[in-house]
Amino acid sequence: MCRQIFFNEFNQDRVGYFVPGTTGANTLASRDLCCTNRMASENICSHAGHLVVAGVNANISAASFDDSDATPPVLTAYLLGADSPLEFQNKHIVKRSGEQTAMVVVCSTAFTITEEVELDLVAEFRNPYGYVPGIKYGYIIGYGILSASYLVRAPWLAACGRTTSSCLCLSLVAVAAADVWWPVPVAP
Amino acid sequence: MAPRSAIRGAAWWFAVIAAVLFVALRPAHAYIYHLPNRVLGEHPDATGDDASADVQLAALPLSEGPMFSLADAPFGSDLPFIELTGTAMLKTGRDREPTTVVNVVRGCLRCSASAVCACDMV
Repeated sequence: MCRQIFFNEFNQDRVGYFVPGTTGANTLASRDLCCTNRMASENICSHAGHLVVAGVNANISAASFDDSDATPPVLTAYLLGADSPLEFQNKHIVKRSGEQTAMVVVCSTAFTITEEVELDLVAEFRNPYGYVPGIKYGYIIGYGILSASYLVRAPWLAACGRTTSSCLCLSLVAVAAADVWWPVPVAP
Repeated sequence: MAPRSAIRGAAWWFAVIAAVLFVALRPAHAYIYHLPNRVLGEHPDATGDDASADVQLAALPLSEGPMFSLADAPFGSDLPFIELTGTAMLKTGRDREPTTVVNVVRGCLRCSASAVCACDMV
């Protein structure tokens, strides 16, 4: 069974079950994500093989930053045999600013076999202004000005390259190309 | 010392190559993550009960840090989203009866019992 879940820093505590007595901090990496038969028998979660999400199928309390935040949406797909690949295209609209995570989880329903799932995945995180990550949005204006300045100087660079033999021209072209390449935040 | 023509030629060739690279490696595409051939698996113990020891093998978390909501964005007017596209295929394990292929737990608007599921989870 293949599941995809989208959550953010405000509701991530709802995902997974932190076994009491486990050494280390209660983080996503230290929690059990799939509901096992034992957990179901102890009424921690309702269905073995399902992803444990408080408020969906688990009777656990989550110390969320904001209890009013929406329960993370989960998409579940049952995989057939090796000859039946599952195609998926799932879009999650970000409604609240903050750290965002998408996660693909494979849980077994039978717990009697070893299952492996091969994924070919493309992940897009798109902000309202484009694909540049939120933590880098401040660069956009600065690099935009830098790009514009190189465009203004482009005729001079061209003339420089045609009329002189200085290696300075080569280095200027290289710097301009490197600077202009990075910052353009336009969606394809 | 290199002759002038050689330096000039190198500069122009570099400019042409840079332009081609700029078009081929568009900056927006640099922020779309391609993850081919990732294998996730779950390995239950002999009793078939407790898979917690290896359960982290079953998860692939993808995060890009903070994102803006439409209301908080400093500029831009498009709806912010996370989109996962791809295929998943069982590599090992028993074959199953082709009954339910897609089962939506919550929030999926357009899914059918076929091998393809397209959802807009709002």
